[in-house]
Amino acid sequence: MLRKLVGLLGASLALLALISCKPGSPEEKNTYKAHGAGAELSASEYNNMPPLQQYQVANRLLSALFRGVPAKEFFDPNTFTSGKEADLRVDPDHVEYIQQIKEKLGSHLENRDVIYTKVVGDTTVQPTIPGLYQFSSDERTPMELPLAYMYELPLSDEYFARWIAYNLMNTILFSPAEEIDSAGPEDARAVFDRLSEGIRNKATIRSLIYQHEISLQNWRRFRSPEDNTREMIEIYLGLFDRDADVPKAAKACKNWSLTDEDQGYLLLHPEAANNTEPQQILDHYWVTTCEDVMDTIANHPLVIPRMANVIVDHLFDANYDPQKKAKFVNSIVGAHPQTFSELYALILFSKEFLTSVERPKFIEESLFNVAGRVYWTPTSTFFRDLAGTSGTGGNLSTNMLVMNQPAMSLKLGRWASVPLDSQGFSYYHRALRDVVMLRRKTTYDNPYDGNYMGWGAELIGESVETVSGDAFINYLFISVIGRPATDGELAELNNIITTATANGGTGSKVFDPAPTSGNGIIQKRRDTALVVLDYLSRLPELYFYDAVN
Amino acid sequence: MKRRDFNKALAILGSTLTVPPLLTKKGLISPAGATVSARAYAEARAVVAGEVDYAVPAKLPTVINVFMYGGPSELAGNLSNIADINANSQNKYPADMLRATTNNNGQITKNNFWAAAGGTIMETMIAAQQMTLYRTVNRIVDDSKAHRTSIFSTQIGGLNEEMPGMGTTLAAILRAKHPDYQDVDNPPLLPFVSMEGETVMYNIGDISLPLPLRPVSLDNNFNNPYKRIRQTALNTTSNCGANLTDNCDQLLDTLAKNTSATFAEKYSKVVDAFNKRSELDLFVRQNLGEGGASITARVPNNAEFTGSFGNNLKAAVLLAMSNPDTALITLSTGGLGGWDNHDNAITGYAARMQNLMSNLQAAMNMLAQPTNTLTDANGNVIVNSSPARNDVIINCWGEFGRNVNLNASMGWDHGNNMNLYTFGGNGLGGRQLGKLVGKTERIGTSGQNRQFTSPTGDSYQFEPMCIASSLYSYFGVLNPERMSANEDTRAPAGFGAINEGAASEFVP
Repeated sequence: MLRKLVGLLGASLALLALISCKPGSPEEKNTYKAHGAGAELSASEYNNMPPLQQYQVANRLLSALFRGVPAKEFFDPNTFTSGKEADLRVDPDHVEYIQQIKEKLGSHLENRDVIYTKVVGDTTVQPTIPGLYQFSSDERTPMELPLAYMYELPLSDEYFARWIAYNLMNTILFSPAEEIDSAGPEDARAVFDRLSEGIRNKATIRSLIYQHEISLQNWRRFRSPEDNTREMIEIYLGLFDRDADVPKAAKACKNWSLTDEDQGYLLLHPEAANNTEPQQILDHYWVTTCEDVMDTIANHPLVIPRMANVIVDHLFDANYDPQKKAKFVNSIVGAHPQTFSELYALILFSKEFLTSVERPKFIEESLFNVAGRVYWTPTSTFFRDLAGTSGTGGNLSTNMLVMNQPAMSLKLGRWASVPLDSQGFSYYHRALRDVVMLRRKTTYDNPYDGNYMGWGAELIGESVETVSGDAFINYLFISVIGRPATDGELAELNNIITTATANGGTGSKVFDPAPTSGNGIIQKRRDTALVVLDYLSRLPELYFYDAVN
Repeated sequence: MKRRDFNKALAILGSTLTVPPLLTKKGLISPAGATVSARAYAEARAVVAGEVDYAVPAKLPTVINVFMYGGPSELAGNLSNIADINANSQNKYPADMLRATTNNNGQITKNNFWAAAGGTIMETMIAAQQMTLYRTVNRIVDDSKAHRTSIFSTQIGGLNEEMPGMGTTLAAILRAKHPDYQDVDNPPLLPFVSMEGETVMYNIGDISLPLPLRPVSLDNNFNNPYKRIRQTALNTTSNCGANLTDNCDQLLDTLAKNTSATFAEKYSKVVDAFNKRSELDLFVRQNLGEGGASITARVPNNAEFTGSFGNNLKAAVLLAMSNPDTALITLSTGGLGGWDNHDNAITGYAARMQNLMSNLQAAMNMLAQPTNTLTDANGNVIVNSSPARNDVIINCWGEFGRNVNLNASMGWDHGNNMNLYTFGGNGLGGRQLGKLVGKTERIGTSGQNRQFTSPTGDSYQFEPMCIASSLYSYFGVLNPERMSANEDTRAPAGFGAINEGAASEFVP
């Protein structure tokens, strides 16, 4: 007992040391800040950037958040007339854009239930409210709903909490492992709800880890005392060489077990069978029960650095320079984030992430960013097709599974590098090309054509409807990839548009060289946009975060 | 020589930058990429020539690596210690697992396989010299029980996670040493294929391969995501340019390729995928037949594959038979569920092993006879028949074995010793099938969880990393341990190939 007390005292002192360093929470005075490698991109640094770079930075941030801002909204729309980068001006409403996003992510959302009803509908009221989106089945809904709901939510604390939960569940940290026999979509729902609610309510990282460790969902993922304790030590502490601790930790959890499938994979831990023999783990912590083990891990000094490491891996790429990463993580940890909101905010708004990190984008980061930038609208089945299973009729063009990027599914989470194997990437490319970039609404002049998804007049009409051909192409380039076309690109695209002839060159011109009717002009503008967007879908840079400089 | 220098030489030999004639002739990269001098290339060749002993094999095999993620128990292929295991286990095994098949429907076969877990099939396949079972794949140097660490070491064939995967290393060796891989006018077609998406086996490490040698991925239905579906006003028959001789769609591709060339290294995987897209589109349509129905039509009647894993394996075998250029196909046992049997293990494990073995038997049946031709509705041949193959090896293993104690959740926790199931390739020199290699004993304290089997003192055993070395030896490397030597201080001499001549315990 004495040894246990000494161990607990040691752990308490370590925790106290951490707490005593806490400079204050962001909710109180927004005073937590990282210095050095993890320093925030300051307002002055951002404002001193040329307008196009500001747009690139804004869209990098929004892309990470599965959003995008159209060029016509970010810039003064009249500045596209010349088609020259030098003439671009940021819209006066967006001169503090990064700070505006940060404030939105901290702002309370009042009507989340109304939006939820809008997404899923309500059949309990009269007249019934049809939902905007269809899901595969009640059973699969938890896998498909999070992205649909986030898509409809405005940037807010609610959105940020859900986005963080979704991200965490795609890492090894909180994956519900829906792919394995003993777990299922309901487990994904439970983890998502617990995390998102906890994050929104400012629960600490440590408390959320502890809640998760002792949850049914965690034990459905790691199903025996030895398996579970080994994984908790590895996952939350990053210690992969503590094999000798595992039998001792497992002994403390000896009365925890999972029933079989016939009994519904229930978690049993009868108190009467609690271990009574203290065990020493992780060098100087004494534990007796399974709760002791999980509490020790959740309050271990390595937890926050480990969280920062894993999240940085996912946001920066596992192949990011290890020395730079170590400095960055140290800097972030030095700001003493206590909640996941604080931790993610430190990383997302850092100068390093917003201007320097180069990596491929996950499908959500590119698809929703491009979608936002071209005013694209999903069909009612889009999220079902995106996050459903290929075996249940999911649309293979947009299914994340066939891109090898399934969400909330893999037992060990997604790799911290975007899978770019030839086949997975081909599906990824087709999702962007076929479903977003070449999907236009059937009624050009009705941006809210409810029958078909796609982009419409908002993208190619209004203020850019009458700009010259080259200016229009440049506008589309800036809108989608954040840069104007090169001279070579302009020349070749114009060559294609002006010479294209049907039937292997024996038919009529594809593009009317001088349309005179209203419809003819509109059609040429629309078809030009499709060719340009098709070209942009073939550029590797569309699928990457490039450094902003 | 230091590993770093050796790797550097191997990297130069494998590098895109060394083979501008090959790639520029194919129009795959711009000559601007060719910056390594002929002298550097020659020096690198000399380095590798001095380090890697190589003899061009009479036949280049095709190897299908089936990886059992999660860490499979060895018990399907090894019940030789089951009485002792049961006597000391925290929870008892079913009674029929303790009886011979000759005794009231027991589960223990003549060679101590688990009958209902593919054991009966294994008896048949070993007797028919289609298979060898190694029972003592055992970690000594680094007894890690962590999934990630173990997957890496097993799939790269070494302990340093920075090393390239075994597929990438093999590609670089062949590029450096085998004449078929140096023929700039006729490179092998799709030599490295993944049917599981990205895999550690193709980790790049410090080796940059020329495009034709980089892995491509296919799925079990030979679906063709490489074909773009939606068209713009420029449909596939539109021509462009001053003379209207250029296909407009191809002009867009060329423009994108040229624009990206400046950043080709940064975007390398995506550039590869785009560059490979049209080639793969054509290959899938012309060599494999597009879609699952075409696969079914080409598989002989007596090769009965079942379930999702069966579809994966069937596609891999069909690819191997359709394209002898394919050197390595990586495949997981996806569709069977994982092998991480921490709870309620026995029933599910046995069924999965049975499915695995019945599909592997189907694979051997399929390889033993020509494939059917594929015809269209009018009887016109779309894809020709492919001949039987006796030079296809299928290896099946995981990252580690499991404990043998049945824990509180009636499962097995992470262990060490495991099996390697290896099939086919009896037309290759040095291949020894029809064997059962390795003897084990139970280790650990009675009534406690950490009980496992271990090779007996007189048994042959090898490290999981040796499986990669054997892969290199199939393709002609005489000193495969060189590929992992000096990578880690724990194993400075590296890991050698499996000794296929080790004593067999098989009782016919």
